Amino acid sequence: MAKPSEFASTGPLEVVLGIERISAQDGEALYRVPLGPEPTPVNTLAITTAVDLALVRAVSTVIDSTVEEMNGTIEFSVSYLKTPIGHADVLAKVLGRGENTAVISVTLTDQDDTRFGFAKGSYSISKKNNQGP
Amino acid sequence: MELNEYPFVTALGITLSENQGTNAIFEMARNETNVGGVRNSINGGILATYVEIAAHFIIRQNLRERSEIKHTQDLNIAYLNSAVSKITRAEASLVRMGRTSTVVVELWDGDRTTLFCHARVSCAVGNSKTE
Repeated sequence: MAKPSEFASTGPLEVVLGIERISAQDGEALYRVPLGPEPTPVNTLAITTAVDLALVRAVSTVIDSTVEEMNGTIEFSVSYLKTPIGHADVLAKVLGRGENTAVISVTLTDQDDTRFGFAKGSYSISKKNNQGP
Repeated sequence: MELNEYPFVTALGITLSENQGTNAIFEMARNETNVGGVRNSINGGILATYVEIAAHFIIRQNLRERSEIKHTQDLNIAYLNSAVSKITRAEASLVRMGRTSTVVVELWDGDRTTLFCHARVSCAVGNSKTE
């Protein structure tokens, strides 16, 4: 099992979709999605993937890898206020977590530093199965 | 717009299986690009993008003349089971057509025995830009 900090190691899809990892620590994760100069309705396709990637990576920074495992996104919802241009910064922050669930907010900002979207999600965390003698 | 003109469709292995205008079925074949979720499943973000592509395709083919999709407004997705099958089947149904147009999408395994995700996508629709 990959360490939680390595969990979102999704290199091929990030390359194909042009998603860039920027940072991840202390309950936050930032990704950037380069876009074209014109607002097209399909600009959000890669951003939608980046929302989940950022959400997962943010959670991975608050896991105790010695006793916990990442168990999958439960759900997320994203609202786009407009189509971004230039690039999209996808910043996920863990709002809080309990024993089994983490809640994450995601803010989407374009090249003009305009917030063009917001997302919220929840993620499942499970205890590792201890395998003793 | 044909399906293969949408970004990433070919790389993600998405094809159109059936098309009945307001309903359509798509298939996504598991490949090196779209895996990456827990338990070696299809990546959750990719599943969400798959849903968004399906929704855009359905809405676009039901647009009135001189209308266009402006942008996705809302997308929500619930992950119910890990998508681990060779084929992930998307069943998309248009439930509302208007200035806000909405499609419901369910993602199933290829045999349609396990529901992976339930999703809803709404898009803003408006007049096409005049030249």
